[in-house]
Amino acid sequence: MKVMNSRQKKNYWFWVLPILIIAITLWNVLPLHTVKPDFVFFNESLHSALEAIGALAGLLMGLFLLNKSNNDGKQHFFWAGTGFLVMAIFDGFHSITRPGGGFVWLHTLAVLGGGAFFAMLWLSGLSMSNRAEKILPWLMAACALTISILTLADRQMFPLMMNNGQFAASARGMNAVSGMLFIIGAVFFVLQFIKSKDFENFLFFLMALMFGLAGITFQYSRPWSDEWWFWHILRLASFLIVLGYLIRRHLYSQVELLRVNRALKMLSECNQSLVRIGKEEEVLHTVCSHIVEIGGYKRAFVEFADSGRGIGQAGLAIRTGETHIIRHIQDDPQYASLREEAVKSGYSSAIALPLMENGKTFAALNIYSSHQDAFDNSEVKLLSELASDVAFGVMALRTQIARLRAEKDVLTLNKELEQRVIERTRLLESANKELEAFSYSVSHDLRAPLRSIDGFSQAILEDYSGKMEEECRSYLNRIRAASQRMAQLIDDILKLSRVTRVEMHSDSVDLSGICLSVAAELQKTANERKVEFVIKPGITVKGDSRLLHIAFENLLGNAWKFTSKREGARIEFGSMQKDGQPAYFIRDNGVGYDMAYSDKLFRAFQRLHTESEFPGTGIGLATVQRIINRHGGLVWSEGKIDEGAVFYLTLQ
Amino acid sequence: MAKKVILLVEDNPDDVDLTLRAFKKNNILNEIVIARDGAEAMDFLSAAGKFAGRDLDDVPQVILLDLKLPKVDGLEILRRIRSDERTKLCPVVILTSSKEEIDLLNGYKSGANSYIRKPVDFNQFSEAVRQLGLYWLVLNEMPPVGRKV
Repeated sequence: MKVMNSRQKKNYWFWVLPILIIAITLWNVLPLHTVKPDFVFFNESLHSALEAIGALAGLLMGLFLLNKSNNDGKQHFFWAGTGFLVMAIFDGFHSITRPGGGFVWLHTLAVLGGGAFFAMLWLSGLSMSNRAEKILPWLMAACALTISILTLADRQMFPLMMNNGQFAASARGMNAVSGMLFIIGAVFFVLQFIKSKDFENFLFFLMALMFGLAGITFQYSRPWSDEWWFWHILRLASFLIVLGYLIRRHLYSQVELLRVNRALKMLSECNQSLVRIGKEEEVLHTVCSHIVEIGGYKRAFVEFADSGRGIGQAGLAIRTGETHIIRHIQDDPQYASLREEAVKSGYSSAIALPLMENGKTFAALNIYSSHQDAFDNSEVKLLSELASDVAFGVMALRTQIARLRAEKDVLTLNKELEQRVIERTRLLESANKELEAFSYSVSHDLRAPLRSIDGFSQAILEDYSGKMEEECRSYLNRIRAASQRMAQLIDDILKLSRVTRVEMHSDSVDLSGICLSVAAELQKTANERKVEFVIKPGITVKGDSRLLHIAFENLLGNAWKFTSKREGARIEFGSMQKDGQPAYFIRDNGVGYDMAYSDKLFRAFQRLHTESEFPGTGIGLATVQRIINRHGGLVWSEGKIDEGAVFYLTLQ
Repeated sequence: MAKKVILLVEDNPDDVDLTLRAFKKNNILNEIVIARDGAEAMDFLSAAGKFAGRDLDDVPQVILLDLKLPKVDGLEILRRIRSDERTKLCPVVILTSSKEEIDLLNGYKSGANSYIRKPVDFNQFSEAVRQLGLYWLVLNEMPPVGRKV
């Protein structure tokens, strides 16, 4: 935190006070009677009143300090508090005794007890058990009470303090010792003050000093003499300091309480606004008006880093990311250019707090007060908290808005995608319909001419057989064979396209059962063949039973075809695991194939054997692949010439 | 005794010739009436156009019906046949190039008695016609056609 125009002047004036007090004391006791009036003023009631006031102040102070030491854990307050308590009790009794009845004795006990505990301030570092700390003051108070009452009851039990109208030597000695003890306490407080710069310690120092001086100068006085009244005044001043301190503490805590209340209310209202309001501008506006209305400031506004102004404390706060305080606008040299306007607006001090996110300052919260130096440490702490809440709120809001926008974008995108899917589906449907019409036309119209070619060739062969040469007949037969093969090709193309077009119905399919029935069908086509079918039972999958039937017809049909020239032909259907997925295979020991051509295997109309070797149009494996693909599976194969082939497939 | 007429509804002249040839080859000598498109077939059924004056009670022994026809398609004709009291029970054999499932289904749904796909191989076609003739003209007992039911 930077404080502009922090007043570097150190205040030494308060040292004048103790020096003055010491000087007056010296002047009073030293025999400079030429410049000092010498008198004896006998007034018992005035004295009693003074002592009673002192006792009351001491009692209050003792209780206050003991309570404070309990709450704050400051041990030196404990000793001082106990001292005040003891001193106040003795002084109280002293104030109600008459001269001769333990009058001096009780006073001496008071200063001796007080002094003793003030000297014990040096024991503040000492660790004490909680119980001892609780009991000791009250034990001491009880002792003081007992001694005081005993003194009132029988003065003869205690040493005499007066001798021929003069203070006895014992009285003088005891008071001097008490004075020294108080001075020891005063040294403790003065050191504390130098160390902590806490003004409270200076007050205590002053107080202990005056108690001490009163004790020391006791010996130079006679009862009711001017010296005697003087040290009474010293003591009274001490007690008045005590009282003043107490009253100040009380008032201060009241004011502080009010201020904290007001500040907390402001903070709470602002936080509520941050939570409640969804618009950034509105949030900032509300927060600023809370600062002014509840916080009692003159003006508050937020300046953003990108607003480009950057002058004054706001600009500094944005640039440095630190809080800037102008304690006195009227005489701050750095505020010269803006002073006239500020003063006209009634501003006396100002603060700029950076609003940060991830260490980056994005704005500054500016607050003006009509009071000079309105931003003390606790206020700054509170406002910093408010600034960090505002920064967090604004950022949360921005994040939320960004998220909402992203959500909206996603929704729009989804809608677009949906629309596109609908469009594509429509296109696909119309393409399918066209394809269907095309297929229908092919199946119907392309076959008709073939029938004519074949039919009329046959008609020529039948009707004009005798009139033509053998070669001519052969040509006509070849025309017929070609047209029939073309018909077969057309049928196969249609089959292939039907496999792709047909609607899928997923169900539980018994693959083993399909293989058994296909095998039986195959066996029926060539009864004479001896083929060993090894079909693993109980294999069921999920899929379209009709399509899978077609696939296995083709796979087993191939195996059947390519083992036709093999003695001891064997066709096997089984299952295995491939990459943790079930895979199925058809293995044969037929003619096999060269793996070099394996990429052509699954292409439509690609054949690895001639028509004369093994009949076929080359559509079977292409069909198989389409069916397996439609099931989300894969199909692949391994083969070796003259050793057979294996076809593997997986299904989703 | 009504004449055992065969009605052939076929638009392709080649197919007409080949069908006639197959009949002839298989010694099926019944009179064959040819309707060359859907409209002609309709005319035959209602004794209109070139079939005006025909005795409507003279119901064909069997109707061979192509599906893909100009003007009025085969299924439409089939439905017409089935809606007419006189021809309702007349055997209709669909004789077509298509083997599409949809045609098969619609054919049977509309009341076809049989569905034959014309093979490209004439020998097979001839065999099919022979069996067809044997079955529908000889083996099959006709419903009492021509009588009011």
